[in-house]
Amino acid sequence: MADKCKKICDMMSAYIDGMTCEKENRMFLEHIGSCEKCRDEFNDLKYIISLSHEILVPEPSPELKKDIMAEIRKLEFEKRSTKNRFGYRRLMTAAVTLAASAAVILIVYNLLPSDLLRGKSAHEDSAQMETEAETGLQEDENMLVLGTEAADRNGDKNEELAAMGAPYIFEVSISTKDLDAARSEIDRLITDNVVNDGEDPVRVIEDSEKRYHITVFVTAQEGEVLYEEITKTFDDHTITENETGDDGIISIIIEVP
Amino acid sequence: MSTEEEVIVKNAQKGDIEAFEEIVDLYQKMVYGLSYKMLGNPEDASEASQEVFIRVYRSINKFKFDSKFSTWIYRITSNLCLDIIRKQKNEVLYYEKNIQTDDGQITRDIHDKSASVEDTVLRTEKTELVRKAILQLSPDYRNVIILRDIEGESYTRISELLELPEGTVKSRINRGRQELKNILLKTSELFSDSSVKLNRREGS
Repeated sequence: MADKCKKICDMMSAYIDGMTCEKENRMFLEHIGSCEKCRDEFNDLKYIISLSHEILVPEPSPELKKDIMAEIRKLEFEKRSTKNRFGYRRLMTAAVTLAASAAVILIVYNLLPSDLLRGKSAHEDSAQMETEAETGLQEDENMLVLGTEAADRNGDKNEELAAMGAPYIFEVSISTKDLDAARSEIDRLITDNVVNDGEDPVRVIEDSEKRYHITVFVTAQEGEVLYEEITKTFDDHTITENETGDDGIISIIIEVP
Repeated sequence: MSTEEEVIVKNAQKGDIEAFEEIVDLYQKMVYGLSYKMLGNPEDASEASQEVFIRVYRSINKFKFDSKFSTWIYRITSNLCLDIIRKQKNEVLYYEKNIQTDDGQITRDIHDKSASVEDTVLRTEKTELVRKAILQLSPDYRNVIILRDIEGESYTRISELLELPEGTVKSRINRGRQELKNILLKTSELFSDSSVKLNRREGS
């Protein structure tokens, strides 16, 4: 009989869930009818299952979605800014190429037409050639750095950018409680100065203390002018840090109390 | 998968954050619900749900449309919860003590209620005891019992969700239910004590 009970117990759930065949059902009911122990077990299980059906799950709080999206935006931001940094780094290297030699090149070439007009001496001409040779060398060195820094699938694009005159890049990090005020200042700052790749240059993260951390990538041809403008825009706030990173991006951190 | 959902998932794979937000809208209830059932409290469930969506976000490009998206998210949730449960294993003893404390509260609560709602209250409290007992099942049993007895999923769907042969699902459901009954007999007064207390009160 014990063997029979074990067999019945093994198929009990399957019976309850309607997973047994006609023949098994007959055997099951026959046994239950005569064995009190198995009948009790059967009733207990059915009772527990009926209670399980009634277990209620609370609704997730509205905060949950906010928290999830805040995390996701943070990740997305990190991903994008790494992407950006990488993109900008290459751009910046190109900019360094130019920055190192642009002044010289520009002067030299600006002189050329007038020189030609004026007619230049052989001496002047050779001096000019020397300068050009020097800048050419510098450019090559920088291009070399560029090549080793990034597996250079975008080489052509970088050259193009360099030819266009690659800009200065400022990463301005602002920490503030007043998002709107900061926004309007930033808007003013970026309308005139941004050369971006179509992505929103402003990223905002809100922390748990309702403080906003804004990062703005501002790029401009005239580095010094832009720097002055940034410091002027935020001059009544504390600029806590100001440095040029390895990637050539100039970081300015502004704390608005 | 409905084409609409497919579009949302594809957009999210391209990095569209709004599409991802729609995914959160569509699945947070399921993810949170399962986490709550597996982990047993709202705080852990919220934390786990966040982690699930972070995982979904990070690995969404690994989803190749060879299963339902819901199945994929379900598996991520279930696996994460199982990990958490396994890490919590040492705290189970502590949890059992907690249940006993709760029982005390339950008894007190019942005395505060009016007699007319007592039946409903008692039923609810019993359900609560079952919920807590499910949390004491070993992770493998807990998983199938939640799916079968709370969610009402079919054996076939459970074997698909958990990637287990149907035979294994069948035997786990059966053993899980028996185990659940043993836990209830051992750790709570589902079948005796609370009803005895109530009967005594009714008699007085």
